[in-house]
Amino acid sequence: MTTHNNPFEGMMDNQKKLWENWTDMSKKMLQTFTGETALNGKAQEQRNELFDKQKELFEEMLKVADFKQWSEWMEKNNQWIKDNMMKLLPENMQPHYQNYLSSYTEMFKYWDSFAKMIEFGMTKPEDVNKYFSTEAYMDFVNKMMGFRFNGNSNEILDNMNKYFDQYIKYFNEIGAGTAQFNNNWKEMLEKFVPNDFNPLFKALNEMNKQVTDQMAPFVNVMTEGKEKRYIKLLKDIQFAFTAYLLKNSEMQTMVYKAGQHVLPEIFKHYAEDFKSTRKLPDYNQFYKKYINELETALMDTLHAKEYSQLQSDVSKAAVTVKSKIDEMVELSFENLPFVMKSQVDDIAKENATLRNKLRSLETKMTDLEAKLKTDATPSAVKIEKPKAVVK
Amino acid sequence: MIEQVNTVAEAIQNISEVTEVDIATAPKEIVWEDGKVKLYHFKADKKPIAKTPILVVYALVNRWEMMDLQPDRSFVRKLISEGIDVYLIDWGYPTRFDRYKTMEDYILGNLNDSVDFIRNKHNIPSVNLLGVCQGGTFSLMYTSLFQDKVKNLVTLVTPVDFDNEEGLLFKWAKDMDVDSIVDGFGGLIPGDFLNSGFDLLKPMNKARKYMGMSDTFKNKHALLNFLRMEQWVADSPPQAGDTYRRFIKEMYQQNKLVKGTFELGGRKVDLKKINIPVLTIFAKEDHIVPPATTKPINNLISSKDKELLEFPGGHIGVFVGQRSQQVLSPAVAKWLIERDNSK
Repeated sequence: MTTHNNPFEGMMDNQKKLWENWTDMSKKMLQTFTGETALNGKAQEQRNELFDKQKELFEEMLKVADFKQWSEWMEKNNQWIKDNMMKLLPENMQPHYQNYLSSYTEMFKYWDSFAKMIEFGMTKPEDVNKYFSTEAYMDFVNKMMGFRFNGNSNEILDNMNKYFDQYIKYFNEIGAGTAQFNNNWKEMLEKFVPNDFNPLFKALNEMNKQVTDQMAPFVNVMTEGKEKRYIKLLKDIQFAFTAYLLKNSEMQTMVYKAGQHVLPEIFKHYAEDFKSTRKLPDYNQFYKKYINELETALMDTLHAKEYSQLQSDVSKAAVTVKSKIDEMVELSFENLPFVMKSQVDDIAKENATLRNKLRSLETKMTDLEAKLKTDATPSAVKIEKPKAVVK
Repeated sequence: MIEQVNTVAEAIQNISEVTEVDIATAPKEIVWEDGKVKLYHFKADKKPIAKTPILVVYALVNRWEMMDLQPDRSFVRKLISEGIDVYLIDWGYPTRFDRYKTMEDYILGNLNDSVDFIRNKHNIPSVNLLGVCQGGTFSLMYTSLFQDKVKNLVTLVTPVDFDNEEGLLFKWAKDMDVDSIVDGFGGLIPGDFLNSGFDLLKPMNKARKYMGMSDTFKNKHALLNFLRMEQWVADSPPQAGDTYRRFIKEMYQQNKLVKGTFELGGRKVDLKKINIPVLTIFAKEDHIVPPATTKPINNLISSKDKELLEFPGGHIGVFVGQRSQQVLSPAVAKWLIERDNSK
């Protein structure tokens, strides 16, 4: 067997030999069936000869072509493609591409197991869930829908109420002096942060920490007297963010429930297909069918009035949080020489008023011009003769 | 194995060769502007067949460049090659300063001024209008008020009857607390907010699109097409809050245009006043503006010369598909040329 330094040259050479084997064997088999030679009745023998040659050839290929090297080459270059495609995409499209890559890759990890389950007819939801857990499914849906959080809304609500009751009690006890503000806030959070019993609750507290840490510089530049307004705004943000999380969680849960049955049904579909055809789908076929069927399943929910109203509530809650944060930033910079958004709004309003007046004037001028054009000659003016003066 | 290696090698080569993603390359010049709004006049190699130029009025949502995505998929270029003199309004990118810009400002201001500019430049009493999507809704409103300035009207995937249960967007808009959204965003609705809504109409579209990329990589032309589309989708301008608020409330939620109660600048907009030739084009599989929201145009206007034209495909496909080049643009050009010498 010829040795090759370059594994691809080896592969090309072997491909060529494979082709030669096939053509040679095909000719012989044809001759057998047409009776042109003395090979009648020896078709099976010829087939065996072909398969033996193939096996010998593949064994040689395994020695010559280093498949590990090939795999590494493929993986490295596929990653290059993904990285460079990402760079070519506009910035706000990159998260979508990343979500797709992530969901595709994550599900592929289960593919060997899925294929076996389909082959052996293990299609019940509880069987599927053993491999593709509820969390994995929710993560998949999150990536497709652009969702971020998940959680049990009832549990969160209970925790939030407990949290706020204790929060108000604690705040009344400690007061809100400026000098102690940051320390008090941190102390309070440490006292009330639960022990990770709910990821969403944890997220809320994480947000609190981030907000207060980021606001710390602003607290320092504020003058006396704004603390109460600042604290009130923080409470408002906390409340608004809680409302957002709760509504968002409810909305997402509705979506998750709508699509949960799809994966076991896909398994069932392919398992039944396998019984008759003995063929399994490839991963691409499986993934494509899953996303198509999942979308169909979600459509009824997305069309529902309940979902529409929830989505509206979520959007409203989200922009409320945003506007409260904007308000807090403005409060912090109130006495400093920066033009704030609300001041630009005042200018924009004046601009709009002036624009309306200008258009009104333009319209009047146009009407006047049109009127002057239609009046072709001026109307006769009656001149009164002065009365005669009698001397 | 060899095939996989070849595919990867081709992909690497094609991706490496992409240095720039250019869209909207049809030659044009700015002939008029007002603040951020520009009026483009596209240049032609030959004299137009139709004497009356057309003014393309795109929607405020997304950018007009979809109509000139690339040289071989350009609605605009095709119209020009079929003998039409093309102007187009570019609404620009509103900033917070434009938060109080109203529908009157857009329609009675920018659109009317553009029409007057073209009329004066060509010394003609009226122009042809081609309104796209929301731009078509604006064009209908404009024509009902200034019909003497419009010779022929073409509407493309234009919603007019918003009381519709087919379109998901129409359902969601009815429940939207638009005042909170506009005020919460400080009067300027981000383009990404709108895009998120469009994405949710068919949540798996992006995954399907990216799945097809392995075929896209093999061909540099296909790769560039793909990247151009991505660039267009990403380039979503913000919306002036007052106009957005009013369009959602008075169109999507109250359906005032169809009910005949919509006013612009204190004047009632009555579509029944429209009696000029009107061509209404809708896309059969349009999930953003379902046909049921467009077809009623024919019943709302008084024109004797009016036509409904169904086009296969979706909301975007109507501009960039092969059939758009081969069938739609020539059909529109032909329709306009046939009516060019009429009063």
